[in-house]
Amino acid sequence: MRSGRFVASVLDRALRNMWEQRRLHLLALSVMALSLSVVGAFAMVASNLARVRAALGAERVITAFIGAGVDAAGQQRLRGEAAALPGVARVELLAVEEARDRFREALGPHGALLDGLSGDVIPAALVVVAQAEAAPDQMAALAKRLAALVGVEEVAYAAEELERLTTLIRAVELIALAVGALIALVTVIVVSNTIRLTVLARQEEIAIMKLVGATDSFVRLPFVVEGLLGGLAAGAIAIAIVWSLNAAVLGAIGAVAAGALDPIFAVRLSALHASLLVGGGGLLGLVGGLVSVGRFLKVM
Amino acid sequence: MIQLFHVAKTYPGADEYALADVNLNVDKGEFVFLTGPSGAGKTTLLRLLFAAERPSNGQILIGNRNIARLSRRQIPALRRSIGVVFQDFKLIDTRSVFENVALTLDVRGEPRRATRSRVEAVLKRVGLLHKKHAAPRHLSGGEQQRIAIARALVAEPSIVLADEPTGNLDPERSLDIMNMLNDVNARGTTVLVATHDPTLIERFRKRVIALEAGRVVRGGG
Repeated sequence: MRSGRFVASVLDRALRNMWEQRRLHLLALSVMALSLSVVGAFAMVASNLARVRAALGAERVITAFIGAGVDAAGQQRLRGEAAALPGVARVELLAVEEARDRFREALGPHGALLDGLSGDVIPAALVVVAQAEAAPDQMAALAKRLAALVGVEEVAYAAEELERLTTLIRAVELIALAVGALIALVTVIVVSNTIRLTVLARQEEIAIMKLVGATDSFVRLPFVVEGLLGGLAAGAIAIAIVWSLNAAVLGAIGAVAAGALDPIFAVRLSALHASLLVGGGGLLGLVGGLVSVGRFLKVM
Repeated sequence: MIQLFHVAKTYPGADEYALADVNLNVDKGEFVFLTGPSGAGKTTLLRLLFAAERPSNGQILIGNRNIARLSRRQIPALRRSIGVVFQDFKLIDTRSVFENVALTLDVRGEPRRATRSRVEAVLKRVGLLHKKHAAPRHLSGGEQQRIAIARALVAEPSIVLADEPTGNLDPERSLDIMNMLNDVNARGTTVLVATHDPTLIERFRKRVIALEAGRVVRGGG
């Protein structure tokens, strides 16, 4: 068999089959693309959360909020006590006005929201920066010591959020895995049934091909290529859907939250996830194609 | 060229033999009529020769190949050495006349250019070159039969099997088709024609193998 001619013939017949059964293929393509985009969306959120987790892990700041009853001298005393704690690099005291100004700055165009609030809503705080080499457990120990200082009402630091975020990421990853497995199964079923229908429509043609000397691979390969091409196309469409969704979500968030949630949606879809989506789609299509033709070849 | 030794064939659920203890020998380059009433086993015998059926018993040799022992993977090679003209033509309706004939060469991986020239040559020979783009269903029965013959001949096989090739044709068309097969035989191809038409047998005066109720009753050689 001349291999170049063989490949050309396989591709030619696959594309021709796809065109002749275009409605069926379009339907299967839509189902596959939507299924894969659900997996893609989960992957995107998970990778963004992981990015936020990494950023939080590198954060070395602990904020200790000072009770409203502590006067300026008391605040200065607390500053000194905090600076003396082991592992502390420096301490900054944020008086009520300064804390309020910083928050206003962080809110950007929505800063005016603070105008109607009373003065003590935002408390004075100590911004404690740990030494560069502080490990997460050292950060936790330092936070505990700061919380124990008389006059400190509450401490907040990234590690706490980190823990919550890690749990959330694990949940998202687990859901993505379960949904992914289910969708892989659905995709294989959709592809194999679509191709089975196209094979059924060509049963007579297949029989005639075999009677004039076609090998099993000559008959089977175009259908497998149909599955592969369909899967690859569905993967590519899924990437476009996930990107568009991401852009739409970012746009909506931008309008109401001034970018506060941006980090979660900042990365559209990593190159790895995008390749996995296309490759996975292709692989599922390939498996669907292989599964569907096998038993028809045993006829003769 | 073709040898059958004690070949028997029964179909599942059938009480009687479709073929029973068939022994016959066809030499290279021979033209043989296989005749007998309907149900005598003519079609079954032809189907055994291109491995569309397996014999229940006995051995079938074509060239130096034992058909009864061929594996699934070896069947395509056997079929490529045989051109078959089916009683019901077996043409693909969604493909053109050209594509139907080219199929025989496509499955062999024949280069496109060679395929085109060989298909056009054989279509010219059967008088259908001007209809190469037509769909078979738009052609007459005689024309469809000629497409089937063109497809069987295009790869220049060493053996041609034809099952009732003149089945539904008028006498003039039948003569056309038989002349074509005779012409192929004159070029050295072994031809086996199953027919129950006595006028064709009388006219062409070739060797005749007669079957009745699955047994060779005359001319097994």
